Amino acid sequence: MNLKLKNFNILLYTGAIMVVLCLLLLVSGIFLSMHYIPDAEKAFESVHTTIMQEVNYGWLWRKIHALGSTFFFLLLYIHLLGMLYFGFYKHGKTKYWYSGMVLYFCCMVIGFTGYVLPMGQMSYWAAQVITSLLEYIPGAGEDIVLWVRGDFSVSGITLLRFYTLHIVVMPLAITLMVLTHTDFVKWYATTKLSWNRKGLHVSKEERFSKHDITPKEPKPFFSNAILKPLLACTLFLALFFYCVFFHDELAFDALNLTPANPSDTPSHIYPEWYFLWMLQLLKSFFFDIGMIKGSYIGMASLVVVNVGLLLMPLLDRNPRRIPAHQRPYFLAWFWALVVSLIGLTILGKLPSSTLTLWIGLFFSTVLMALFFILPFLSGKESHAKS
Amino acid sequence: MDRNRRLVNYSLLALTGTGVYYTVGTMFQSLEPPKKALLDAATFIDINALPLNEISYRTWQKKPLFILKKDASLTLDKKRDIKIGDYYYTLMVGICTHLGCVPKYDATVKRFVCPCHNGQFDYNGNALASPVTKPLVIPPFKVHDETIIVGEVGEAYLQLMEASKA
Repeated sequence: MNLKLKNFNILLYTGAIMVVLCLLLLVSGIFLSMHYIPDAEKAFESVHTTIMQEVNYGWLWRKIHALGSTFFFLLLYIHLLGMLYFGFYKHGKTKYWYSGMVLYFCCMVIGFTGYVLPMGQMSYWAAQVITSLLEYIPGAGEDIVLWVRGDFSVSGITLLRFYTLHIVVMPLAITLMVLTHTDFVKWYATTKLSWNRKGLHVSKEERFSKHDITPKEPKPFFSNAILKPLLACTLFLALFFYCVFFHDELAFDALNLTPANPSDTPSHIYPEWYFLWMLQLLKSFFFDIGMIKGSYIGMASLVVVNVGLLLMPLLDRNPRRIPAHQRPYFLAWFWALVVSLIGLTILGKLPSSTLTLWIGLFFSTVLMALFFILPFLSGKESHAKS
Repeated sequence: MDRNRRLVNYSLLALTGTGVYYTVGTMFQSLEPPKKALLDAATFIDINALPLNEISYRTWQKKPLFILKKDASLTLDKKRDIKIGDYYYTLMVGICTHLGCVPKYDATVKRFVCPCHNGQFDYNGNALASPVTKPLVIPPFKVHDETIIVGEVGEAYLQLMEASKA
């Protein structure tokens, strides 16, 4: 086992662990949906009474599902930033990046719609606020909001369509995209799962290194290609189930323990931790610039950052795929990105005050500017010696 | 296969098997009826609330239940009556023993008549006319002071079962 810190082994196994988590979420979700009632009046009770207290092990399914989603997003961010760090979005890796970004957007949708289902206060107002964002679409915003909600405000009709999205549409889309993202067809066609020492398929793909790699001895597939990811998954699952049984407050917020009340907004709304940075982006532009409303700028910044991530292969103009620690400018860029994301996440959880608004404005501006600067930075880099 | 490798593989297999066993057990258990459904497992009947010489209707485990409280003025049936205090009680699950419809009590002929195939029972639940051959089923019960607990096996029920065999 080569467990040196410099090998960043966690980055190699996030994908495998996420697949395991997906399966856990799928199974626990199936058992939850057997007792959940997607109805505005009955949803809260069916979750908090039926599932949590009356069904055998219902509490276990729900905790696995909630903690599983939280950990899934944590790993998703580690995975995404890690690939960003190693430049795994360029030159032959673009398809993985783009399919991964589609997965990321699908996960946002499935996470958000799932959060609405228990119909607590936070669920309801999250749905109300997030669907209101669509009003900012120029031209037909209000009609689109009406169409998405299926009602004048979030109601049982909205709940039912979110439920359908959450348990059918998005899981199917995610399954298909995961298969694409992992090159499953190619893998299946070229790998011999052999018990007879036929060996592991070694891909002939060119590396970024100019030197030829010495051909490897074929090894038995089973213990060589399975055991290390299995160890990673085991270590992760130990942590995961420790959190499921002893630290469920990581995923359950007390504010969501009151049933939804359409006429009473909680004074301090915040989403789950993985959406906090986006919320802070929205809130950060608290003043109008000339004719443009501040909320419009917040909305635009959200679009800019996400589209910027999506278009990384085009924005990074350095022709070589090398890790960030060999690219001084990009290294600074990368850590600025990470720091502003973490900063925005922390600020998103705090109640708004003058200070947090200004710090938030600073981080939001940095985050937006990063994506505008990147082409010039990376262009400069390709001339410099690196 | 190399000995160490075999050891690792078999211990992994054993570990996986154990995990799968308990996981599947958990899944099966979570599909058992939740507590809310188990509320119907037993029905409590207060015998003083029942009208004399009339059929009363209750439900037990989502099935209809016919109760007849009677004195000696009606036909008694050793095999089907429970004597509590001065009165006799007959308990029946109100499901026709032919094909499972619910018979209706016809007060003019004093019989239970099943609308589906015209099966007929007397008010003690004994089968009278074809197509029915078996009497209405007596559910398990337990007599507790002045309450009949339907759904729990008690001494009186066992005695009744003995009597019906004779």
